[in-house]
Formats: sequence, structure tokens, C-alpha cells
Amino acid sequence: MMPSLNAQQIAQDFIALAQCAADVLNSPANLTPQQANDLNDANTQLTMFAVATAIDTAMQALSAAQSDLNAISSATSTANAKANALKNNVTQLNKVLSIIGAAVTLAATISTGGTLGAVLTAAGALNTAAS
Amino acid sequence: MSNNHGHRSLYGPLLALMAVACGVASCSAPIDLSAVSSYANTTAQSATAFSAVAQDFEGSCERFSSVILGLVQPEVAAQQAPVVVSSAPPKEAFLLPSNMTPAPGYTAPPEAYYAEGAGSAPRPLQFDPQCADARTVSAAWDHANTVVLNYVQALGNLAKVDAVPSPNPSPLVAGLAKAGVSSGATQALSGLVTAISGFFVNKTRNSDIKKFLEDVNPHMPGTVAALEVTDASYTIELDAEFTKVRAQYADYVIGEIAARDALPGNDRNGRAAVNRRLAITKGAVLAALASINQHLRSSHDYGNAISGILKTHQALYKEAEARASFANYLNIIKTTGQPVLSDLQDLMKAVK
Repeated sequence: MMPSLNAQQIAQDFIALAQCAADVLNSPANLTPQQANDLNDANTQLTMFAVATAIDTAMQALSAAQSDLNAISSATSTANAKANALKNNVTQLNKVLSIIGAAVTLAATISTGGTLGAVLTAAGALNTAAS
Repeated sequence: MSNNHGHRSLYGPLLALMAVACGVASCSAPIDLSAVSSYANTTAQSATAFSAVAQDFEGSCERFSSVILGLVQPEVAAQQAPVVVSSAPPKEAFLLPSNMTPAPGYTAPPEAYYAEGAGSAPRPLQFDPQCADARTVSAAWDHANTVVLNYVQALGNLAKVDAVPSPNPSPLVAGLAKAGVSSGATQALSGLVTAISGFFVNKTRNSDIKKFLEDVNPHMPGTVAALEVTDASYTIELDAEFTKVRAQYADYVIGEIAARDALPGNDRNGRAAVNRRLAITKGAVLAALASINQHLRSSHDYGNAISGILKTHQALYKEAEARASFANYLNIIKTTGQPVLSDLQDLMKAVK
């Protein structure tokens, strides 16, 4: 379960009260050291409760989101695999185009009565493209 | 001659085919992927800043614990202490300026909290000075950040940012040219191959993006809500730390001044020592407060960036459901995604 907004608001209210205490302590008011100590203690209690609530709220929120996080991780892995697959498909397509191109070149070299050297070069190119 | 005639007869249908293919594949100016690239790259670059924010959840708790015990720990070297030029400056000389307030942090929107939790009273809580729970939150927050950043990266991967090779008909064109096919025909064939393969690549890419957005969509609001709530909690933690430092320091000043003023009138050295101590402490406290404010600015920028990532996701999903083209996705990244980039850049500056 997600944490309540109410808890967060109460924590903020405690912070506001703690800020009031800090403002008084930092004001020109002539506080005795004992009064300052008491006010500082009150500030400590208020801020400690606010921090404890904030930490608990965050823990609850992140815990509640765990299944959502797992689902997004899983979908992300699938998406990355698909991205790689598409990349590989285009690479394969380019390979096929290279093979066909080399085959056509070889056929043209033979049919136009190319020299043995030219035929061998074209055949080598086909072999490279296909390997 | 007959060969040339043959080429011309091939050329016509090729051009016609190419025209059809272009119509299907929407041949137009090359798609500018720089917006997607910026979005994915900037998000990736902000991973360190995200991690620093998450780690400081525990850091703030530990600093807070330390202040309660009476020790202020500035993260940076303390500012230079003011020089004391009076034998007995009043306490106002050492107290902090009254307008010293925490920087605005982040407040999660009400919708980030699920309705079932709203209205319930908070559990009675005790502060743990060892910060074990805060440490757990830091680790879980860091993990959640990684999941969201990986999602953005995967979107970038699907959009083929700098990753997928273009279809390359050149080897085939070279072979055909060798076989005597005219340059006009080979150019037409080259265009045809590029258009058809581009069409299928785009179609696959759009389909993959759509499926990814559909898979993620039910889980994104809950995830971002958790991150927003956590960030709002971090802001409360920092506000508490700021307030505690101010109160603790003022209490210290009042006590020290009272002790100084109680010293015998001829103990000038004793008074000077107290004054020096107070001046040095004030410099350290000011540095600590400035540092907390810097963290608050990071919290603010992080919260905005996370909210922006959700908005961008939701806009992309909406377009995907409306059978958007890749150009529509790009448009969303350029518009809805743009503020995210600014927030991420602000965050990276704030964390530095």
C-alpha cells in the first residue's frame, strides 16, 4: 500500500512548527540558556518525528512500486532484444545485397568474356561477401 | 542497341515501382533523430546525478543524526570565519540571519498518493540514529532510478539512435553496373531497395515502440508516483536537517554568550577565545546550510525531471494508441520531452 498524503502533510506541519522554534531561537529575544535548551529540545522532537515519517513514507512507496518496477524491467529487456534483432536484420539484408551484387558481377565478368584473373577476382569477392 | 532498349524497358517499371514504394514508405527528407538522441543521451548522462540524489537520502539522515548529537558537518570546506573586532559582540552577531530559509524542495502532487492510503494516520515512529531504514531507501531508490533510466534508454535503442545501419544497396548497384545495366536503372533500383527496406524497418520500429509503450504503460504511473513520494520525503528530510542545524546552532550561541558574559571582567583572553570559536562555528554552519540548500535544489530538479518523464511517456503512449508514425513520436520528444532535458541539465548542475 502506498503511504498516505496525510502522513506526509503531518510531517510537513511538524517541520513548520520546528521552523518556528528555530526562528525564535535565532531572534533577538533574550532567552535564557535554559529556555533555549527547552526550545531546542522541542525542535529536536519535532524534526525527529518528521524525518522518521519521511523515511517510513519513502520505504512504503518504494516497496509498493516493486511489482511495477519488475514489470518495467522485463519490458525493457524485451525492447532491447527487439532493437538488437532489428539491427541484425538490417545487417543481414546488407549482407544479402552484397552477395547478390558480387554474384551479378561474377556472372557479368564471365558472360562478357573477362580474363581468368578478372573472373577469379570476382569469384573471390563473392566468396568474401558470402562468408 | 537491343541492350539499351532492354534497359529502357526495365527502367520504366522500376521507376513506377519506386514511386509506389515511396508512396507507401513515405519517402521524404531523412528523419532527424537528434531529438531522440538528446533525450536518451541526456537521460543517460544524468544517471550519476540520480544516483547522488538517492544516496543522499541516507546522507541527510546521517548528517541529521550528527546535528542532534551537536556536531555540524559541512560537506565543503567551511567558509572563512568572520574576524571578531569587538571584545563582546552581542549574540546577534553570531546568530544566523533571520531570512535564512531552506530552498524550495519538491512536493509530490496529491495524485502520487494512492487513495487507499489517504486519510490514514501515520504510524507512531521513532527516529533511528543509525539510519538503517534510510540506507534501505537509498538502495531501493537508486534501483528504481535505474529502472526508469533504462526504460528511456530502451526507447532510444528502439528508435535506432546511432545504432542501426542503413540499408546499403551499393554492392548490388555495382554488380548491375558491371552487367551493363544503365546508371538510371541502377539508381532507380537503389532507391527502390532503400525505400522498401526502410519501410519495413520503420514499420517494425513503430510496432516495437508501440508494444513497448503498451507493456510499460500500466506500470509507469505507480513507479513515478513512488519516486515522487520518495523525493518529497527527501525534501522533508532536508528541511528537517536545515531547521535542526539552525536551532542547534542558536542554542549553542546563546549558551556560549551567556558563559562568556559570566567571565570575570579582566578575563579578556577567555572572552576572545569564545568569540573566535563562535565566529569559526558560524562559518561552518553557514557552509552546512548552503550545502543543504544545494541538495534541496537537486531534490526539486529531480522531482520535476521524473514528472516530465512520466508526461512524455504518457504522450508517447497516447500517440502509439492513435497509430502514430515515427514522426509523431519525434514531435512529442521535441515538445513534451524538452522540459525534461532542462530539468535534467539543472539537476546535473545542482549535484555537481
